[in-house]
Amino acid sequence: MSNGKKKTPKNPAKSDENDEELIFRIYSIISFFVVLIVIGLPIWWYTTRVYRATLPLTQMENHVLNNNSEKEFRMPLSLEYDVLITFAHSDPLNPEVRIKGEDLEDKLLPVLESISQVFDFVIKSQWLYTFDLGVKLTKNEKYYALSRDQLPHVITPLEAKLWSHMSPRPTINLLVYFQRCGDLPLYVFDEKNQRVSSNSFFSSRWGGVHVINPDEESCKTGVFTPNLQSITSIFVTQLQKLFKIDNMLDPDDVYEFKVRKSTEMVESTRRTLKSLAELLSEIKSIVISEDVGEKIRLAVISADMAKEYLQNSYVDKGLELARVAFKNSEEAFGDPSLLSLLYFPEDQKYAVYIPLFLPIMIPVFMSLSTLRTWYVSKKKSE
Amino acid sequence: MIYSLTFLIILANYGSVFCYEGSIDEELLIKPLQSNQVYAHFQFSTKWDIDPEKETFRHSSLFPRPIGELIQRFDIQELHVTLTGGLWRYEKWGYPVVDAATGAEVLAWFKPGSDVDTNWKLLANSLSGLFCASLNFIDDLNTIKPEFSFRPRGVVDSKFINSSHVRYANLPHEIVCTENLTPWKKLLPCDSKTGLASLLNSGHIHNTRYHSVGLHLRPVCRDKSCESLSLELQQTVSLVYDYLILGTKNWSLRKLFGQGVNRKCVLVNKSDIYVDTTLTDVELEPAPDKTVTSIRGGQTTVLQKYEVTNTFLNIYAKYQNADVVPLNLPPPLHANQYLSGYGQERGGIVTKIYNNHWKELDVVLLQNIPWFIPIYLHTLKVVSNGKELKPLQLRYIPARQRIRPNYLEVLLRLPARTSTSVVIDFDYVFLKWQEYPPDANFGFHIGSAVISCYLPVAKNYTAVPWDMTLISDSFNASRNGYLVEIRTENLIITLPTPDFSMPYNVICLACTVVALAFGPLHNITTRKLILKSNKKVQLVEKIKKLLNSLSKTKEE
Amino acid sequence: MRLITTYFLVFLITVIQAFSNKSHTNNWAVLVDTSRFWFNYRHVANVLSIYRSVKRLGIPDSQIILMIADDMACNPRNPRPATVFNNADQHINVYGDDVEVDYRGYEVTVENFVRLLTGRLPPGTPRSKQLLSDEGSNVLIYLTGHGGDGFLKFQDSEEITSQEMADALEQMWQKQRYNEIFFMIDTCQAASMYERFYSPNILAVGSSLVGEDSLSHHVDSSIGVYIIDRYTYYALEFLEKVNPQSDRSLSEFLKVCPKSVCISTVGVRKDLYNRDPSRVPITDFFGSVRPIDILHDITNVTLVQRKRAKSKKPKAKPKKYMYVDPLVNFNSLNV
Repeated sequence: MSNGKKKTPKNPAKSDENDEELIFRIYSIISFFVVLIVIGLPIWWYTTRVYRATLPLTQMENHVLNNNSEKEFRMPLSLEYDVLITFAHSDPLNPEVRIKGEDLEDKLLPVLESISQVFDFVIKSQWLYTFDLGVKLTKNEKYYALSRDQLPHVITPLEAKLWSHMSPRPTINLLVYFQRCGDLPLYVFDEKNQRVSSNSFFSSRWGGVHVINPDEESCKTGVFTPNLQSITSIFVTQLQKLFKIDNMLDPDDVYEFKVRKSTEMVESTRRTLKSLAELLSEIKSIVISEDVGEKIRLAVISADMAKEYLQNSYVDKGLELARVAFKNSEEAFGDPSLLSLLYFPEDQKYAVYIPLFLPIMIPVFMSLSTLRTWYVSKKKSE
Repeated sequence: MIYSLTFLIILANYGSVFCYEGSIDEELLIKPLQSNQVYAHFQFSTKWDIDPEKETFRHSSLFPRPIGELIQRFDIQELHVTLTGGLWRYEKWGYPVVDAATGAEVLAWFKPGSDVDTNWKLLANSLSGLFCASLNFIDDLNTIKPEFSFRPRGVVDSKFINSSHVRYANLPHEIVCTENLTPWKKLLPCDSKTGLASLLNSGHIHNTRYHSVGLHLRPVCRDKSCESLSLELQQTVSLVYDYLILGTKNWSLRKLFGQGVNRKCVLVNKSDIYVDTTLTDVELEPAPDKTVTSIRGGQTTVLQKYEVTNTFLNIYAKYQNADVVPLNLPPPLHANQYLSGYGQERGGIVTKIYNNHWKELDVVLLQNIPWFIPIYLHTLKVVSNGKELKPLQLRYIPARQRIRPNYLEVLLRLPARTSTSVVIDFDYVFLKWQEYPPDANFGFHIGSAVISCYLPVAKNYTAVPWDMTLISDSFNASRNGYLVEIRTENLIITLPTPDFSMPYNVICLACTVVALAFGPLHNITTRKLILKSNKKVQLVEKIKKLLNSLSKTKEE
Repeated sequence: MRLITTYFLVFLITVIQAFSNKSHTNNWAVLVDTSRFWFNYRHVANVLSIYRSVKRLGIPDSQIILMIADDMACNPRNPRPATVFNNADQHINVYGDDVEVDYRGYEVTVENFVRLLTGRLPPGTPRSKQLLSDEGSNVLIYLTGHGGDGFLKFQDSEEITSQEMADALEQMWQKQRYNEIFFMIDTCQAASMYERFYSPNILAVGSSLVGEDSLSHHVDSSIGVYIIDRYTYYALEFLEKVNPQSDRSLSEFLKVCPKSVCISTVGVRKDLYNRDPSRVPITDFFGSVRPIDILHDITNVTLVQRKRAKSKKPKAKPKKYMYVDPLVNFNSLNV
């Protein structure tokens, strides 16, 4: 029924061969098409796409990672640490303890200097007065005992008071606990119920605790001056355990440590980059700005170069580059800008724009048929 | 002479008795207020004899390490942080020891030569982590650099004060609760097991008309010659209990704080409680250790002193005439702030300052008004008892949208016995969709105004003198003047709030409009318009035609 | 600098690594209440119930990230300031006396939550507001608020979708930010939030299945609103009976709220989790027991006095410090 009607608008166009305005209409159809489809659509696509800087994706993905079975027991990798010495005392005037953080820092720093190429350390100290261990000590005639099972429960309540989260760096806690006169001596026992001669223990990733019993003489005078040498030795041993280095003062061990840490840093860099590459393919809304891209490229190059130096036993150079690689890969992965499209993910993009595009695109595409008829008729006439 | 003598006594008190670096004094002032409230002010003062300019702040003993870390990282010269719930009613309660605005307030002086803007933001972030408060919302949008209102409270090496080193921000909507008190208490060396800190139990502290915790850090003179410095940290808690909430006027430490003082903290030099008995006839039990009479700026105060020892202490107060309420005499200077106007187009902010003194008073009015409240300087009007008053000085930095707030500082000389209103008009504006908070219909806060004045009389005045530390230093400490920094009420204005489903409506509307505009344009330019034959077809014929065609199709 | 050192072993006992069968070294908890306004009191009570339990069982505050969208404890409508109870009989003040809230009020946003999980926080964020977990961390994530099919509302103004949640956890996995996750959610249609998870080592439990509402427990007439939700109420009841040494298993915990008391069906998703919940002690997620080693052999260090790099400048003329006038002197101004 509508056949007749449909033909009416077409007929004049066809019949009116010598319509002067026809060519302008054709031009305008073409210009609409060009402006909206040829130019507009790509511009829209370009401006609303998730920006990603060009990345060496194949290099990021191609690394085969070693399986790290021992992972749980090492210190979390970082380029700098705070060493926070805490003096805890249950009764600060019984006896009064004369020890200064500055003095311990002076003793510790020369030892730590051997690995200062690997990590930067900031040594700090603080006091915790009126601190109770928070566990019930078992007592017999000769001593008070801190049993093996109780040790973890000493650390947990401590953490609430240490302020270790105030610094921007990860913290290694070294705690000295002074037992009060009157409840002396306090000994640490191991799982075989043997007295631990060092009177100290440690927890990987957290730090160490050392229990000191003031001597009787000090309890009489009320003033106790602890032996710095023994505390330093305990601290150094605890740090060695935490970092899994046999002896910080043995150049061979330090060399081995440097190699190990450089390798770990390179490994960590590669793992981070690989994860990032994987995430980029999984999650479409992650933005990679040019800045982050630069960091990634730097990390990739530095990691490769570090590996090469390490293979050729240029440890210092390798370490330096491994640090650069590690720093940049961590910064790139943790950059706040990666999440900048959180509030405008891909699917919402279409939801917002389709109501706008449909009413515009349909007439433009429809008018293409006019263009076709015109073209066909023009060919015919020729 | 008396002055120097007191100073010497204080010095003697500061000589620490043991090797732990620093010294601590704790004091509690309990003052029944003229209306139906009792005011309790705790003050824990830590003094550390180090040179803040050379110290690395890596090692500390009595001084809390987190604060030291802040000083070192952000080049802080002086820091004042208060977190307050409720409003201090100056008119009825007189002046507090420490003035604080409702919500959070941070004021910091930075050392010359430091990157003040960056440090300020990082400091706010760190403080938010330290005190579990949303202080990280402090940024350029609510920070000002007041020129007159605030001056360094600690010592400085030059009389020339550069206000580009000071930053001040307040967050009026900040809520104060236990989570803020917990870390604050952790800064004290004796924790909250012994000493006056054992009285700070959150359930009792927050069941009050007004509660404010504060932290004030400043450099002070180490000795009389003042050639070397010490660092002083004041931790304060101010509480105003209402007799109605307590249920009785006869208070006791246990009733106010849930328990008495256990015993003295061994690390503290002085641990004293003062009960102000000037106004009321009260019977105290146990009997005080000492009665102190202080004459200061023409005002006589009688205080009962208790020294906390190693035994348990609970103080009971029994009032002789429990129903007698003393006549309330407002202090020399107090102020209110409120909104004027109606509707959602224009409004005004009115600050009313009352001068009850017999002489004229010089005051500085400071206002920090958010950027989304555009104020108009030409509408600023200062009217004192019906007569227009000309400001002595005016500092005004207008807001820039989404960049900085309005900063207004007015210096006024208030005539004697007058009430003066400072009015400024503003417009209500729309914000961007995402700038509205989740509870946009609650309204938007405008922080309190600060009115600073150097009062010539110490009537109803409790603050510690400028150059001193302890509450006991304020006894008999007459000076030329007494500084008050009055905080007014916060304001809440209801900005026009849109319907938050708006973006979807807008999308639909915008698309329709575009489609409507585009369609004809496209048609006109790409199609030929032909005049249709003007033959009018009757409606009846149309229907006939339709029916015909229908029957045809059916036949098929 | 040279150090002369002697190195000898005092005792030569091999260090026995206790807890070597343990798969994790530390515990973290991310506890989120996403609801604002007084009538959502119960959601704050929910989150604080879990907070109380994990803290009691040993996770230190520095390893708990607590997000609370509104203040109920010191709300003017609360007749008992600084308290939040789990029960109208005021059995347990779940708010406690030493609570530490890390994100509160307007800070509780989808953005901050996702940034927290993925570790992509703006520079200057204090460490107490960061999730500093690592490949040895067991993380407990607890969410409560108003949910729907596939989303959880934040503050009644925005929402996180289940896809965003799943992607955030995947990013954590890729960056080795957890060893295992126990994901708990108490909302309506809670199960929809964990349906899209695709990262390994996640055990998820939700208070209700898709299409179900999660119900509240009872009204406290003194506050005028519901005081706690059913699921968390029974979870807390169970957790109160657990102590740090107890060996109650996770599978027992998964059954705390049978349909007869919860009314909604508690959903559990185990396919991403490769351990048997009946063999996992509940303290693996709700407590924190640090692995401990005894220090047996000590490296003796001979002390060398470090020369402090003190730049002893010739003492400058002693500075004279002074207090300035408390307020600007009006007479000195050019009025």
